[in-house]
Amino acid sequence: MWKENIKPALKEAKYSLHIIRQSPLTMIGIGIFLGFILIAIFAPSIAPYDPYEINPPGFLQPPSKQHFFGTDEAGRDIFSRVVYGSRISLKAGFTITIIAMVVGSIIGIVSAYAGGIVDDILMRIADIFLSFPWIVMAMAITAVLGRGITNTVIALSIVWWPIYARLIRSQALSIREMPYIEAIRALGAGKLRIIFIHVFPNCLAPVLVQASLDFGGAIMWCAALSFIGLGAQPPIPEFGAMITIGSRYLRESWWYATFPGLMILIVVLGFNLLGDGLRDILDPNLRR
Amino acid sequence: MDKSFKRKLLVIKNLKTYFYTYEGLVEALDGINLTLEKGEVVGLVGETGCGKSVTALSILRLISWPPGKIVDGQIYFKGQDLLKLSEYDMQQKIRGNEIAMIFQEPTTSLNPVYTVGHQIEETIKIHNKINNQEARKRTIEMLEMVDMQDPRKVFNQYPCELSGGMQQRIMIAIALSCNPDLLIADEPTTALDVTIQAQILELMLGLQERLGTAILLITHNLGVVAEVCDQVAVMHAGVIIEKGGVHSIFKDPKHPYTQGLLKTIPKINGNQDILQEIKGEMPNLINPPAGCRFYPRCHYVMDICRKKHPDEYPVGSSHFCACFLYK
Repeated sequence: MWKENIKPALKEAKYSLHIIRQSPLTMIGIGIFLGFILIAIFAPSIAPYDPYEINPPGFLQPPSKQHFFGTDEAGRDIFSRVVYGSRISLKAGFTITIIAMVVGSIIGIVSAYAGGIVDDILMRIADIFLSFPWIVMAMAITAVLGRGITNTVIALSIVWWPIYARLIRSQALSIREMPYIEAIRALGAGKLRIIFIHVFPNCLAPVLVQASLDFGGAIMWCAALSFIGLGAQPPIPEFGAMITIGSRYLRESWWYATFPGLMILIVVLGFNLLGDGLRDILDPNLRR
Repeated sequence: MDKSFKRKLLVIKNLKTYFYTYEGLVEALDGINLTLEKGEVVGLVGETGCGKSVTALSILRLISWPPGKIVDGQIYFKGQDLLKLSEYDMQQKIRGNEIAMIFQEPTTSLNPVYTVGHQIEETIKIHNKINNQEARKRTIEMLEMVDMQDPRKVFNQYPCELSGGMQQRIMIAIALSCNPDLLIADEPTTALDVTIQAQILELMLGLQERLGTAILLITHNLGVVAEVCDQVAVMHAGVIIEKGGVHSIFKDPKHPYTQGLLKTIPKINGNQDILQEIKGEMPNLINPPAGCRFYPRCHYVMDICRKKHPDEYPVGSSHFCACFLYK
């Protein structure tokens, strides 16, 4: 029974693998994505030093065999800090994207299905959020809540959901009118069943693509807020915070800001490639 | 009061469905009367836009407000008025369970994200309290019933992997999965090619005989009607203008519109050079002609036609025609 139920899903997974294999860029994206997650999970075993351990005599050493990425102004190993930093960034990116996606999807789909005044109110609220330059708004919210990585995540989640609400609403509005929705209505399905079991899964493809693109974006903006001093505070090994201090020493010690910066670049690039690949995988025209 | 309708399967009385649009009031159905006996196949024919589909949707109360609304009339199904049922009862007891519907476009009437088997199971589970294994067994039975070669394989296939004809069979399987007493088929063969059309009709009729389901067949294909129906109702501009047994209507059409309609069919042995047509267009339902809605296109138009709505006059045994010619 269980095996029978899983069969169509397996078949679909095979198709997806086939499409992925044809696109080297998607493979790279998935590789970076998996690598990033593995680094974050196994940070304690990968990092050779404690990221907080200071060693004042060995400050600002260039990359060497002992310190792959060199050391910072307090003699901490930058490689270890970058490895641990990926944990913080992964958590932040994941939390922001999930909160924005879940909240946005629920609001969007309720808005589309309820229509009328409910739709108007929810969408005008979304408009208010979208009408501010959102990074300024995220800064303002962080400033009100106080500095720190948790507050940054909250602030970015708050400004991020309207994108998803809009996206899923527009999808749901067109799916709602499809003949198969009318057909299932004629067969006696209730409102909740129609909206969550029949309309929602059909709206998911663009949302998943958007989410995988936003994952990289969330990591980047989190680092950006830390860079301007609102997010993670030193000595927490967060990429943005490390770059802030590293930029002071950029002329003598190029390695300090460069490696965290490169890490952001690779991760964001990886997620963008993954997002593009996902779009191809989910495109029904390319599927068969 | 006449209580004979209690014994009939479906009695529609003076049904009026209006659409309140920006351009004005559309009187899509203007007093429909229709009766279906148990196990009978009734054809509902007419031009595009004459209100055939609206009739079907009105029976299931699927006209969405705004802009549409059933403003008047009664629909007795097994003696109970569907228009007075609560929305919950309608959903749980009627739709899909006692009255099921097949749609015109099989390709878009199945949800693309679920497997065929899942969708049949779902309908069974909505209306019956049964466990997964029984639902699955019943689903396989249904797939066998609609002549699927390999039901277990089809069970796990997605709709896009099937041909149009197979998809329509799946729709039939879903519709019949809860043993409905009435099946509304809204142009079930329009989107299919001719050979498949014949197969689907044959399948539907075979199942109809086996299960004793009554069918309301909505179509604009008179050939199909002549082949499969017991009774025919001809619609024009939101009004049923003629109804009766399939033989009397095809042999001896009374209403000028029905006569015109039958002339539009090319004869296989005919020496006809020009295909006949009915002059004029369907009247605009926002501002329909006063009186008989057919008079602007009618050859036999009389003064009274312009002023009054014709009632249904008997013109033979159980053959009615809404035309003043037969008053």
